[in-house]
Amino acid sequence: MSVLMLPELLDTKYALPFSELLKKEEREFVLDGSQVGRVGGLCFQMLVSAYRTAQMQGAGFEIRNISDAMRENLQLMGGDFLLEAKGDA
Amino acid sequence: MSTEDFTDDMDAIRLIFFDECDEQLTLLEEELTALEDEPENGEKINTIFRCVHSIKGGAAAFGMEDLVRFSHLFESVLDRFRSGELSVNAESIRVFLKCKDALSDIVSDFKNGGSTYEVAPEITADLEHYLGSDASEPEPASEEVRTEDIFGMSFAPVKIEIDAPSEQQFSIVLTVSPEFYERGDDIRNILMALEGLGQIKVQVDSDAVPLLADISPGQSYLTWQILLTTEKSRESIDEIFDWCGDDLQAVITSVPEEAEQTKIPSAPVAEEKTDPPVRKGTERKDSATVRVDIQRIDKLVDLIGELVINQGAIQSQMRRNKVPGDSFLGSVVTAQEQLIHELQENVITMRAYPIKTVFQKLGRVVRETARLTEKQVRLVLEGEDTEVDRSILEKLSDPLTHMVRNAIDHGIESPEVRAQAGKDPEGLLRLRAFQRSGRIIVEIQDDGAGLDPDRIYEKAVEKKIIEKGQRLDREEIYSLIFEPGFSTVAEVTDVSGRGVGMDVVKQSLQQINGRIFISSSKGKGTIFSISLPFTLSVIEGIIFKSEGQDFVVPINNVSDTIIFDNSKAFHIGEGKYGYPYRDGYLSVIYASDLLDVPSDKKNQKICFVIENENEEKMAFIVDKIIDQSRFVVKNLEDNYRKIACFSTATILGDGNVAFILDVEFLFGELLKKRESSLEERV
Repeated sequence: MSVLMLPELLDTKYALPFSELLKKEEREFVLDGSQVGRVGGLCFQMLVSAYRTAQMQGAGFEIRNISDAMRENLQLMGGDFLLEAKGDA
Repeated sequence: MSTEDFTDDMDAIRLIFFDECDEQLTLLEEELTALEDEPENGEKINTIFRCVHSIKGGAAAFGMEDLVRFSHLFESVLDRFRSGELSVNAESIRVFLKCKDALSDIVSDFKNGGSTYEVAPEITADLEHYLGSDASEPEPASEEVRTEDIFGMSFAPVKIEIDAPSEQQFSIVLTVSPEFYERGDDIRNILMALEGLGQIKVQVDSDAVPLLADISPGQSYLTWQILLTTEKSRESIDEIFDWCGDDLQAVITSVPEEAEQTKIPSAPVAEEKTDPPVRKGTERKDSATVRVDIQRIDKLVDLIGELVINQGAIQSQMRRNKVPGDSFLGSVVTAQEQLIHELQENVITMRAYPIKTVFQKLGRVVRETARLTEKQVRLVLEGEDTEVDRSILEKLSDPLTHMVRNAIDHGIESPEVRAQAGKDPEGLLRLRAFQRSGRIIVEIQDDGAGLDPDRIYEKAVEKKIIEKGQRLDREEIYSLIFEPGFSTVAEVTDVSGRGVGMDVVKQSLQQINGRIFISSSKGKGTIFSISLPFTLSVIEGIIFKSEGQDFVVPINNVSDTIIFDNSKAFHIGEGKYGYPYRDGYLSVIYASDLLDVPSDKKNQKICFVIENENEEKMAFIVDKIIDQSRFVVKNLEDNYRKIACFSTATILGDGNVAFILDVEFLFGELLKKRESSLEERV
């Protein structure tokens, strides 16, 4: 199982590389949010897509070590369910 | 945005809200039904809670106060169950189902333009019973009683200082285009700006977000619904969106004054636990979907029907001009015909719904009927995902409901009788749907007493449906239960009515080209098997000529085609005429009789052996067979008027109309009527 370290800025520019990185995750989505300072709408959308994909595949989805900024940003955009997801989505 | 545009948007959003309510109510019913088998399943109660919560939230945004009040009360009760204070049992599920019905009624009322709805007091009382002492406390004046906010918090009416700035609530629905992000903006900024105006509650609709394999990272799939409580004016909100242009669509609505008492008090909303967005059932297929108005699909089906007719016209002209089929034009037209055929099948599939929607309602019917008849019944559903054209599904619910009631009331025995017979006191009712030979088969099977052919025969004689001594085989005796006014129960019950049901069932099924078969074993049970077409839009048939006119006979009803020799037709007595066929003979009907015009029977050279749902056969005599093809069905009543003998019509390639035979009519009234006049012909 590998952990995908998220960068400080999950902004619009990062949406494309982020999608490619997520697509490479073979089964489990384990993300580390300790360094995240900002989450934009498009990257938020990528996280939602990964969550739904995990749900569909019966795979795991988890964001570990969520920074305060990431937590606030996700909550602001209605993404509480991403914060609550642990193990199997 | 003009006022007109705004009103249009609001209407569109209201419609979406009602669509979502329908989805939530369907899920609610599904989960409540499943809860009966798994009362300990906490996830089911959670899902049920979220459904009601979701309806409440939307209703508040549109100021549907009565819907908010009732769903809040329902939700409060559900909360006690999900917290473990109360346990789910059969009685609570019965109450929940009644509440679900009440919710459906309120939603339906608002959908039809209503603005208030009073729920039956006994339903409210049932719910308040679960709230115990909280609900039994003396209540102030009715209008002030339910001062609950839409987040589910209760609070007492508060005195409002006149000079104090008053809070308002706004519902804001946000969708953004990809260009919004391209020019450097972000939804996060908008939400932060709104947060700066007051307290916000954000729900994100993520249903449209594709899976990773299909997502385009630059596209925008999300929709946000925000409830803003603020002391600021509407203009302050508008200012946030002023500079977003068309790249961000914001629909802002003020929660109306009548919902004013549901305003959020200055409570720390941020600390309130919010539910995650409603996920529609854990078993839901997680595929990307687009919500399309069903009328658009219907229109598409009609347009493709016209395309099929035009294709027929091209082929008709080709034949007239003797264009060879293996020419370039011929091969292109053939390829186009195949494409249109595929297009038609695809579009018809788009209009197909899983039969689950009907089966779920029947779960309720089973429970209620079992309760009324004091019987124990276990319902087993199979093939719920079998898809049926919407137009058929809409007309299937009533006959199935009646048959299920009948199966429990007349078929399944009481627990005592079953025990005496060595059976499980709990009866089994199985509803099953599947595809066979291009048709949909729906079976209603019970393990009850089975049909008693002797009793049915006696009753039919008593009711003067048949004459005493008339020879009928077992299947013919069974089919007597579909005769008008037939009933074998000694006492009329509240459940299955007065014997006016099964004939109506048969008629209803015939209207959707359905056929019904019965197999039964005394003491072991009965299976009613309904065969339905996949669609009513297209029919496979044989086109034939009679007296210069074109007609179509559905291919499913043609069991054989033979050359007709008029000299072999013979008189068999009592005004009946027959024609030898294999080891027996067939009753004869001439197609020209349908037209009521003098005809030269010498032209009539083709005999269709036509078969009805009871596998009865007749000889149907026509002049000439033209072709076998698929025909686009046109409703006669909508386009002209009902004509006896013909169920529907079609438009041919040359623009002429051809009527499609109503085979059941031929076997019914027409056969009886015409037999006497045939005496003069033969």
